[in-house]
Amino acid sequence: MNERRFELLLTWVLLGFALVYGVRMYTYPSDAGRVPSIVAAVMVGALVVQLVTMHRFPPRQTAGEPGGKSRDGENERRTPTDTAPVVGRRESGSAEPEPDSYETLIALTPLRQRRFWTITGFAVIFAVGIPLVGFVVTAGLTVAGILLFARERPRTVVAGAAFATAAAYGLVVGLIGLSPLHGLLIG
Amino acid sequence: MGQGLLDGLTLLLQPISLLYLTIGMTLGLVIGFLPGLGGLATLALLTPLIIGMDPAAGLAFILGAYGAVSFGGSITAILFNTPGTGEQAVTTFDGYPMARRGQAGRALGVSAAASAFGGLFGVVILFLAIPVALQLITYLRPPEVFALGVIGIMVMGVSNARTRTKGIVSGALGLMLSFVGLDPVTGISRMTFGQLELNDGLGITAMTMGLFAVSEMLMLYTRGMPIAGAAAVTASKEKGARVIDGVVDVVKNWKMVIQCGSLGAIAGTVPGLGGTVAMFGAYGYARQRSKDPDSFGKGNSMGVLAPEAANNAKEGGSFVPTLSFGIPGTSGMALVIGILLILGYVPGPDMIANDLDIVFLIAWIIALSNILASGLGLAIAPALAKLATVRPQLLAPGLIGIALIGSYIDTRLLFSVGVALVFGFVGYVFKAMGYSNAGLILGFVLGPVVDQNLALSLQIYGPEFVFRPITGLLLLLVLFSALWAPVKNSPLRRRIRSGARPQRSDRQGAGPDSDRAGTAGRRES
Repeated sequence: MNERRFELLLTWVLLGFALVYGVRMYTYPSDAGRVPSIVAAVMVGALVVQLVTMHRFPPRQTAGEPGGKSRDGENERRTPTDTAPVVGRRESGSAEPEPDSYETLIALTPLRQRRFWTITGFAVIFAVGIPLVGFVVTAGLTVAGILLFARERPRTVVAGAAFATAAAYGLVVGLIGLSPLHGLLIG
Repeated sequence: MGQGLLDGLTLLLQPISLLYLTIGMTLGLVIGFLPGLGGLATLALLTPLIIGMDPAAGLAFILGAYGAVSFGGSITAILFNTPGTGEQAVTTFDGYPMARRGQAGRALGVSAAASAFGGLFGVVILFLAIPVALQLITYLRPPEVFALGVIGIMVMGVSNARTRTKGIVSGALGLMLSFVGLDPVTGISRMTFGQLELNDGLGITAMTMGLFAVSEMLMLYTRGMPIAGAAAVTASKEKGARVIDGVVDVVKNWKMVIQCGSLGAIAGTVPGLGGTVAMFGAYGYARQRSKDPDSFGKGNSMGVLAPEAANNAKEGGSFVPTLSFGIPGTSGMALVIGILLILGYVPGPDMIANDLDIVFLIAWIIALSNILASGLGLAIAPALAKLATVRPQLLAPGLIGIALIGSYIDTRLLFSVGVALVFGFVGYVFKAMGYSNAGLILGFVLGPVVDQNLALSLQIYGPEFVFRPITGLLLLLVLFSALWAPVKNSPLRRRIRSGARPQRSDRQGAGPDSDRAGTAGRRES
């Protein structure tokens, strides 16, 4: 999917949300949804303008642009022997910060895709783990897991997991007084 | 009044008060460094500790922490693009790009010095403004407050998103999300789908954590590069990138500190507006005054100076309605009222009349904590700046974990963890496509202000409220800023301009592109 199609899809999703939201708010009695409906109407108007603009004035395609894979793909190719620090150093060769754009954040190279799904998996497992085994155990296990997955050195993994466990303990037990083991499966 | 000023200072200079001030400040810096635990959470967490304390020591402890937490949040905003509070999002606009260019030390220096000077300026304003503000606030009715809220969102739309339309969409989405939950006027559940957790809304902390902390860490890990890339490894020792260079920036631009400090202090005196409008307004003002406005958002030190000065000056201003009327200037001030009640003081005219020494004690605490916290921050800033070079494999997972825990701490609901996670991905996509996460959060923060004041305006004045002089002027300003650029770049105007070109290019014997080439050629020759 190229940038234009993704942009159109996102605009239609937002438009659909705004329409459903506005209609539902409008149905609430006693003017409870009056202000939200007005705001939804403003958003619908802005999105329609955006759609019209995108249809009437499509962006010019430059050579090598579609797909966004022409970026530093060669530099990002990772050899089996590379450790995470080596790849990090190689990729940070440029002093110029990379811009936040479709090219750099959505149209990902295979290596970046792998990283994205790794951190996404970590975040989801962290969120799911909290109700099951509690904050402290979840923090220690998930941080250790992702550091192992990133092929960090064993002592870094142990230190990272210990730090995460201590931080979670301090926040959850020290600050708000929860039991350290309070999940559904333990505690 | 002079006696009250001296009595307040004497109360603060007692050794026990200074000790508690130092402890509070240290705690404030540490808590501020944790994403999501802003001033409000600091006050909430520390309130139980002051019960039974001597009033001067208790106030020194808790307000010292409150004064320092802001700079702690600025550090995370600059180094990790993770503001301590939603309103500090504006510090990330230029602070984070500076860190990514290897100027983290300089950005922290600007932030510390601007916070100190801005905070002092706010206290001076507090000293001077109490009698004046009492008169001014009475002119602001719901229509004016509503219009000011809309202006706040428009400022964001203009300054942060890739296009104006995307800025408006982001702000509107933030407003819409803020309306989820119980309607404050009728008590009707809106868009809750029967979920009790949604009655209190989505939660500002969870939204902030998701849109700023989680999304930023997703980006950082995906890129695989440290926040500062290769540049920051040696940058803190290079001229132009050191902490002292940031301080020099602030001293050189003392006029901007005073101007943005004034803006912050004035915004702080208007209940319900507070820091958000102050910081975004100051940022917009600095950008407007700059000779190089295009450099804003890419690492201009003025983009850090302006909001930081305004934010700390705002604290002094927000004490004016809090102490004068018992009306909280900001959400943090609502807790300050509770704290004063715990310590045996009732904020309002009676307090001004009978406990002027405590009023000035509060002003002195805010002044001293701003200076000392900035000094302490400056001392540790070079060490903290090195955090920008830590590899994302080590940094991102831990910070995502802390952000998710922080979102839980605020509401004690696991639902908030889910909200933070979902909005982490929303923020990621929005950032990639040029929408404004800051606009979204600003709309979310200002949503209740806009909702209540628009509903009240319609109820009291009907739709004619837009014709009130101040409201009409402010809304015209909003319309102008929204419509001017599209009109300026409309197809009709482009056609007129392109219609004029062939005449010139006829003389050059080529089309529009070669017109530019011809002009360049003439310049070269």
